[in-house]
Amino acid sequence: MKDLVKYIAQSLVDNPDQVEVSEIVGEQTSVLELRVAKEDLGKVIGKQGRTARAMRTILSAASTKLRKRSVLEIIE
Amino acid sequence: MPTLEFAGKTTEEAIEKACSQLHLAKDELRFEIISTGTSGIFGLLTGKKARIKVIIEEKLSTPAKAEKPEPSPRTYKASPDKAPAPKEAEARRQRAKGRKETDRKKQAAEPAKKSRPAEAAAQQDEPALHSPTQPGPGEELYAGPEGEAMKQAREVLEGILKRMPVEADVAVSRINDRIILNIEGDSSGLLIGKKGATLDAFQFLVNKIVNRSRSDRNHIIIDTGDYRTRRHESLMGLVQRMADKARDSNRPVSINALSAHDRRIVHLALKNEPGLVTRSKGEGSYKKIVIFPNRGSQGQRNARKNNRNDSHKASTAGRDLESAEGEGQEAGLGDSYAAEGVEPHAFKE
Repeated sequence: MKDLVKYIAQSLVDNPDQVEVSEIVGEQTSVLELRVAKEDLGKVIGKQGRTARAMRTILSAASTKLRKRSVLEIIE
Repeated sequence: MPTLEFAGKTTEEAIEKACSQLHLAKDELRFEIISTGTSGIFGLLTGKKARIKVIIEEKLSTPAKAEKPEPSPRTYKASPDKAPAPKEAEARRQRAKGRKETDRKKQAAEPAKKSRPAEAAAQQDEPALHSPTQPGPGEELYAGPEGEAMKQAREVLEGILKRMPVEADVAVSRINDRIILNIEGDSSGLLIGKKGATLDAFQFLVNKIVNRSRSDRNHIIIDTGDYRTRRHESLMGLVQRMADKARDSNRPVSINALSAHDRRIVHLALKNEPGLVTRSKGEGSYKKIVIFPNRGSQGQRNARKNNRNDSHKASTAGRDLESAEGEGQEAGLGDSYAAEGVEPHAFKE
């Protein structure tokens, strides 16, 4: 799951080496925290949060497969 | 598909007329009822004729057209013993309609539907009116080797799928400026999501990633299990039903919020439709399409006011049929899963 978010985020930004994802695993829900370089923040959020929404949609599809829930947080 | 119209005192009579003229057996006939006949009130008023529209099936038509689901939910085969339920509902509707008819009399003759064949021809010329994954008129499937953009798009999608993890192959093809990525091997519907949301998310991200690093713009379409084609067809069916509804009731009909792409299809589909105007209403993801019948005179407006009261009663009386149509005033396409079966409401035996 962590890998998935990292891969997508790295493909979107200008500084892929500054992409960090940490996972806080809960019993049912895990929280994925995405950190990117300051100038790339807009790229992972997108216009009207469209990119962030698309990532969350894919993430929830992936977690459905594992019968889990995941939340994506973009950390400033 | 070409259609013909027949009229008679009752629907049965119209069907028989159609059968004898087309030399078809009753149950070979495919038709839609445009209006059921009424005998008039106490025999004082001349009854309204029942009209049906017969769809002429072409055995040699192109496969894409032939597979297209019947746009009207009111299509059923003509053998009365086989389909008692719709007949009953129809009779009930007819009774309900009787009340409405007096008001309708004042109204000008129903907008003609004869424009259909012409409109169908116009549709074929419209580039957006075929499924994006199929080559349209004047377009052809690119047969050469996989280009750089095609390769990159495929690799990005494979990279995402691999990490989900989903075991699926990606086939890549190209039609003009569209790169089509087809995900093969996953039939769970997981990759489609509600109303295609997951598929659209993939498409959005892959487009963004690929076009970010390239100087040329590529339009990437992601599809699985022919979802895009089916969705396009069910959308066209919905549009047709809603257009008929707007015309029949002479009132604006709204279609639930659709994505920008779907909205565009609806607008284009009805662009050349005489007597109908489409407008978008609302903002953002709540943007709806409203189909307005083009009306003008005061008389019509009054008739409409009366109709509003009556049509409520009518819809209660004819509930079976209404619910069978499955589309209220605020019709949507429902879940992608529900839409898979395209036209679950057609009364076919």
